[in-house]
Amino acid sequence: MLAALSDYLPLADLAKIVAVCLVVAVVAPASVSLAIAGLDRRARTGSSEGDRALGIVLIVVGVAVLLALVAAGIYALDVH
Amino acid sequence: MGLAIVSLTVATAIVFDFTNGFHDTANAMATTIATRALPPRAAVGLAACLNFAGAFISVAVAATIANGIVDQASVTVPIIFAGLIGAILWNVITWFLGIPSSSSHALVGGMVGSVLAGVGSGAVIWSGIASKVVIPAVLAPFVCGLAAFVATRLSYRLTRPIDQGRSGVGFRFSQIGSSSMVALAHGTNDAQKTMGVIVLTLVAGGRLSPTAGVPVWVKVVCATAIALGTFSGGWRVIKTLGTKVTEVESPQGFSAETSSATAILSSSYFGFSLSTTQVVSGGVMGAGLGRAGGVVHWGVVRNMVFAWLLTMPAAGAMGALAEVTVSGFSNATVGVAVVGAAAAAILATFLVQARRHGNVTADNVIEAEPQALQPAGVGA
Repeated sequence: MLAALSDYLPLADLAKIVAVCLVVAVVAPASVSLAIAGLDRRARTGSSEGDRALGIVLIVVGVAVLLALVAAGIYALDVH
Repeated sequence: MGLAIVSLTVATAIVFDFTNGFHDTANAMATTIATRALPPRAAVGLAACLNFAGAFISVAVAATIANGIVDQASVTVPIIFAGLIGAILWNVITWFLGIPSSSSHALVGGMVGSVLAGVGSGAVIWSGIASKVVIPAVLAPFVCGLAAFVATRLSYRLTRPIDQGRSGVGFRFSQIGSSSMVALAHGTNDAQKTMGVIVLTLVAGGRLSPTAGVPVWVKVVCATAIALGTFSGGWRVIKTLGTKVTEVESPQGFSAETSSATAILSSSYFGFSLSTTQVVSGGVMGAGLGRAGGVVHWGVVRNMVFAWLLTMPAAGAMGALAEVTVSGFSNATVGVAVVGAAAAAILATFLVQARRHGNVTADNVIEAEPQALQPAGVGA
């Protein structure tokens, strides 16, 4: 008799892995795009002080989220 | 077991580790090199350093290889040697052909083949192979490909209003971070597999207690071998993954590497050891499909998938042949030396042929080859 897939692979864990991958697939590009949008705002000619300040905020938020993802990755390696 | 045969087998494991490094450099750095986020030499140098560092982070995978695939008590040093020969030969053949195949599956295939030939099927832990190798191998490219597809779509959509040159610089910079994570994870996963094999050899040879951990010298040697292999650059495989599967732009490279790093690290967290090669290949395909009007060369993908299916049986057959040959000698040390010399001659032949026919180096690795790329979804 053939064993079921769940006998070899915990399907709940597989679902978590897929969920984590999809969340990061949304969060990582979004944070890079934020940082790029921030750079764009700062670099635009004729941008006001407010625009530049918002640009810096976007860069900081984008980079902070990316750094948090890297830290989570290193934590996962360390725990493993 | 004599010191000579144990030493020869440990040396062969180190050679395998080196081939693992140069074969798998592409996993972390192919897209980074293809998008010119880093110059080729700098990219492989960074990957080598991170592979070295990654090798010291954990030893969980080493334990899996030492205990979870074959019955430790039934395995002898010549059997381990024969398994390594099968894995090395398959790695070199696929490198010569420029096919990104899994070094981990080659190692497992080689070991299983030599154990089947030397001891029989009772010494193979089939449930371990199913749960730790086969099922993750089937699922990994799809999971990572889906994530890369979503990430690529979003990357282009969110940066649409921004100047392409500026967003390209941002994504290239981010790519260095995402590919570094893949290199670190690769060092952690793959250097440990050789550590596991060396521990298995030392235990089988009576040089280490079965309950002992991984000796520090084994960690240092494995980390150094995989780093040197990585630094030597498997340019043929890098060319395939970076330029032949799809035409990679920086948002795609970032998406592929981020998805790969996430898939590898999250699965490691839950206790699965994936093939980084298959994960990254899936990521590159997903990224190729994710760009509007993106192009994927399905003929190359078909060859890759064929090689993936063939990896374990082929490495296993070569491992079995090596084991049968070694056991044909009345003195095992002589058998190991003869088979080792024959394998070295085969490796040298491949290296010479690679230099003669279409030598790929750091200087020409991202030169485009004239080939018809086809729109995503259209078979080649």
